[in-house]
Amino acid sequence: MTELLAAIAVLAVGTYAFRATGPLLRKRWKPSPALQRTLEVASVVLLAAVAARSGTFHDGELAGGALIGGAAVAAVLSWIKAPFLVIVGAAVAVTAGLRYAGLG
Amino acid sequence: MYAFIVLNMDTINRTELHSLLRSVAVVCLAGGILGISYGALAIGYGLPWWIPVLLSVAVVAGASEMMFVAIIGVGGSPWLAAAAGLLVNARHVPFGFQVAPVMGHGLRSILGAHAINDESTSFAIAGSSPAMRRLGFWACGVGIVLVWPLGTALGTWLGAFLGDLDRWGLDAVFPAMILALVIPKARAGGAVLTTAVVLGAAITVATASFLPAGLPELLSLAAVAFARPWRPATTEWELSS
Repeated sequence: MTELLAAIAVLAVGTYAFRATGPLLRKRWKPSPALQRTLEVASVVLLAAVAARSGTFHDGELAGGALIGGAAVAAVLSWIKAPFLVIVGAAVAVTAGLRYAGLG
Repeated sequence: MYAFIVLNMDTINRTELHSLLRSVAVVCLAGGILGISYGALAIGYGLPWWIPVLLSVAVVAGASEMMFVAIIGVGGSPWLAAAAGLLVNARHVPFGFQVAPVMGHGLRSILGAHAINDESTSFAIAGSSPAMRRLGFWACGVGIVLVWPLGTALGTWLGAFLGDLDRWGLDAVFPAMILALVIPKARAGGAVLTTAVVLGAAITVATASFLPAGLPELLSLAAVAFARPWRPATTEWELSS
């Protein structure tokens, strides 16, 4: 039990350290415009990667067509700048619909 | 919260503000639902209720918590679970640098750091003005920090009664909302940024089936090199003026 609590503490403190590095460093060091652009591009690329993975994999395995279909619809609607609620609603509806139709 | 919104009113127009708050509300509702399914999942492994709830309060990063619970749930080492969770969460380092300017200084940056997550970072990037980015980050960040543990606790309590939440297509909510915030940003950055984003996503999806969770996402950063954003600014890179 002590071991488990210590491991949770390591994960919590480590994650906070990851998050706080940028905000705390920024007080004494301001990234150059070139580095700022690089970090912004890195954040956009990373977030898209997180979304792509969560839209194609489920519990560590390749997801069925229902989730992938819903995520693909969301990607297309996002590209044409549909309203936020429409994008999320359509993704859920398509995924649930395809799943109801038996597409995993 | 209300005072905070009022303070920002002069720099944000009303329609934009309402649309932002509606989006934040949807994201927080989705976060709560995701929390419920995570709490139910943890109970499904036979873990006591306080483990997922403690993780949700102290870590607030869904993917890493699910991984932690999945590893200890099948009797794996807690240290391995912590290491896997940290790998999943390493992406918060670049997020922190990106979000820092909208957080403010002093106590705000110390507290705000805990509110950095996929959703709040997306709002901090997607906002159309500095005031919108600031408000989006704080509203969403604080919302998730509150709603995620509440959802988790509810999920451990409701547990097995819920059945399979995925039947309702709710697993599509998370990718959909991140895409909704990030894709317009990629598009606004022009063909080079869009290509880098697609390339990065392709790297992640192609490696996700055989690499440990977290690593495929970090590998997507190789695609940043394609955009060469460190070169002197061209008009194309005026992303967040």
